[in-house]
Amino acid sequence: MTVAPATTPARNAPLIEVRDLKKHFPILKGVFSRPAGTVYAVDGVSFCIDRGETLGLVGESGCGKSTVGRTLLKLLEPTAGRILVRGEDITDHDQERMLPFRRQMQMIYQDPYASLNPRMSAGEIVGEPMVIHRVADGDERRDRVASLFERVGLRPELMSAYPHEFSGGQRQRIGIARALALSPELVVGDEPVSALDVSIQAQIINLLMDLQDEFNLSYLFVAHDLAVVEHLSHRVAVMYLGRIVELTDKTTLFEMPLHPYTEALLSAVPIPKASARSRRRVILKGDVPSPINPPAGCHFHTRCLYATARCRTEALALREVMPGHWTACHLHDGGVKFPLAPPAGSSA
Amino acid sequence: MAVDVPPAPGQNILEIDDLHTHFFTQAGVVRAVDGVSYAVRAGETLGIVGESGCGKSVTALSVLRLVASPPGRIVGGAIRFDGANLLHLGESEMEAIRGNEISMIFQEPMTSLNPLMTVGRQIGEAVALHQGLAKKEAWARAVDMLRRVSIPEPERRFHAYPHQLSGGMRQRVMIAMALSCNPNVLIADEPTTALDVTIQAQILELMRELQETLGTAIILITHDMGVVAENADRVAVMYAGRKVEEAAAKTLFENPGHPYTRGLLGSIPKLDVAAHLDARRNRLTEIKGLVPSLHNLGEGCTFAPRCEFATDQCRAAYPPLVQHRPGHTIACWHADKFLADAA
Repeated sequence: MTVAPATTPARNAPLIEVRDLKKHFPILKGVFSRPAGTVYAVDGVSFCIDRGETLGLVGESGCGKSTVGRTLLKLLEPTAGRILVRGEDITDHDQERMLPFRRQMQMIYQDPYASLNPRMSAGEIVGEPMVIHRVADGDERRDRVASLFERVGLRPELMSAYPHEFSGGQRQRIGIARALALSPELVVGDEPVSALDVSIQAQIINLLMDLQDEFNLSYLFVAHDLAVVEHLSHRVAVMYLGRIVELTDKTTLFEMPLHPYTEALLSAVPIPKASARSRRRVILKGDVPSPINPPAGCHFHTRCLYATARCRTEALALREVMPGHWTACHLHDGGVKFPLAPPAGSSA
Repeated sequence: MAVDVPPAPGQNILEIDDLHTHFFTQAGVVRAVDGVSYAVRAGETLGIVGESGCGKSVTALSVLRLVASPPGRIVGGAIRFDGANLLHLGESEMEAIRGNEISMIFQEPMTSLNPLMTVGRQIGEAVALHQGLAKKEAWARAVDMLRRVSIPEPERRFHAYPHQLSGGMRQRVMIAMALSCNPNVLIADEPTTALDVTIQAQILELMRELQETLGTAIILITHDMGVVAENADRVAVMYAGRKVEEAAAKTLFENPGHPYTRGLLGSIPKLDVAAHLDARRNRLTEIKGLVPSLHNLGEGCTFAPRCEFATDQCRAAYPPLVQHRPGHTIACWHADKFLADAA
C-alpha cells in the first residue's frame, strides 16, 4: 500500500537527497522478544535540501519528524529508502566510511539539560568533536573553541564552567557551538528552541539565522511550532503519521495550503494579535491515530473534513500539483482546488 | 456556606490584593510573588502571562493555599472571595472551597489524575464530597460531565483508567472534574501546553463553550501570547514576581505600554499575513540578557537591566502601577512615552 513517488522533489545537485525513506520499529513482547507489531514511524519520505537552505519539518507528536532527522544522520539505520549527500549514496556506508560524512552533518538537540555531559566543562564539550575527528590539538583547539564561544554569544572565560552553571538558553548556545566545531554543511535541529522561554527563543532563532548566513549552512529544522518553523525556513514539509503530506516554500504554504491537514494546522495555531479572535477556524475532531496501526488509505482521512470513499482506501504519493508545490491529497486529482472544498456530491 | 447566589456579570468575584508569597531556601529568600494584585470578574477570562519563574503559577497556588510549606509561605496580602479573606480561613473551610467554589486544572493531566482510580470514580468522588450526593447520583453526574466535555462513549470511558486515555482526553477529564461542582472560578494553569496544537484548539474551544453555558470566571495562566490573544478578555503581564501591565486583551496587543510586553510581543514569530508580505526572513526583536534571579532583586525596576530605555530613575526605584487609560495600568516610569509613540 505504500506508494513510491515517481519523482522526488529534486533540483540540481542538492546537498541532501532523501528518497522514499522508511524507518519501522518492531514492537517486541514477552521473554523471547517476539515481534508483536510494527511502529511505522517514517513511512516513505522524500525531500531535498540545498546548500544554505532551511527545510522545516513540522508535525504533531508521533508524526515521525524527529525520526526523519535521526535516520538522515544515520543515527538510526533506515529500514528502506536512500540517503544521498551531494549525490553519493551513504545509505549502506559502514562506520568508517561514514566518518567524513559525520563531520559534515551535525545535530542540535531539544533538551539543553539532557544533551550535555554534566561531568565535562563547556569548553571540553565544544572541543570534543575536534578530539574525536583529530582536527585540532592543544592551543589550536583552545583557540578554536574560544572563537566558537564568542561566535555563539558566550564569554570565552566560561569555557571552564560546567553545564549546571548555565541557563537553558546558554546551554543551547553550547550545543550550537559544539555542532559547529567541525564546520559542518548540514545541521539538523531537533526542536532546538522548544524548551526555551520566548524572549530567549528569539535570541537563539536569530543566532541560528545569522550563523546560516555566515557559514552558508543548510538546516533541517524539526519542530512542532509552525510559527517558529515558518520564521526560520525557506521551505516547509508538513508531516502526518510518518508521511509528508505537503511541501512547498513557506509563503505559499501559508497563503495556499493545499492539504486539509495543513489548513487545519495553520488555523489551530493561536496568533498573538488583537484581530485573531474573529478569524475562521478549522477544528479537527478526534485524536491522531497510532502509528502502530495507521488508518488505511490516506492516513488523515479519519479526521479530514473533505474525505471521500476513495481517501479511505487509496493512499496517494506526494506529487507536484503546481511548480514547487507538492502535496498528497485526492482533492486535487482533477486540478488544483483552492480554497479547499469537499468534492461535489460527496458526504464529508 | 450561604445560599448560592450567582454574582452579576462584571462584578469582581475573586480579588488578589498585594499578595506576597516567599520561599525560604538555604540560598536565601526567593520573592516568587512580590506584591501582586488582580481581580477576576464573573464570567470573564483573565489571562496571566509571563515567562518561567515570573510567579504566575505561585500566585494561583496561593489562591487555593496549595503552596508547599515549607519552604513557601504567604507572607502578606489578602485574597478575597465571597466576602471572606481566604488567607484567614481554617483548613476545613478551605477544603469546602477547593474544587467546589474555586477549582484548578494543571498542565500535565497525567500527574494530576490518580492512576489507580477510574476517571469516572475520580469525578464522582469530588461531586459526592462537595455536593453531598449519594453514590448513584454522583456517578450519574460524572457520566454527564464526561458527556459535556465531548468524550465519546462516556458510559464506557467512565470505567477507563487515566493511562488508557490520550493526552487530550485526559485534559478533558480534568476539565470535567474541575467543572463538576459548578465552580465560580476556574484556574487553568497552562492547560494546553502539553498538548498538540490541533488538540489544543479543541480544548480551548471546549473551555469557551463551557464558560458560555456555565458562566464560570476563568483565570488562564500561560506563556503563550497567542492563546491569551484568542481567549482572554483582559490580560495581566507578570515579570520577576510582579504584575507589570494589565489591560483589556485588545488594548494590550494593539497598544502595549510596558517595554517588557512590547519586547515579548516582538520576540514571537507570528503566523499571519504581515509576516509573509516579505518573503525574506526577518530577525526577531530580542530581549537581551536573562530573567533575573529572584534572590537579590535591588531597589530599581527588575526589568531595567534588560531594558534598552532604562534611565537612572529606573535603576533607583521600582515604578508604581499607574492607570494610564481606563482599565490600562502599567508599572513603568516612561510608559507615557511608549503609549504616545504608538498613538
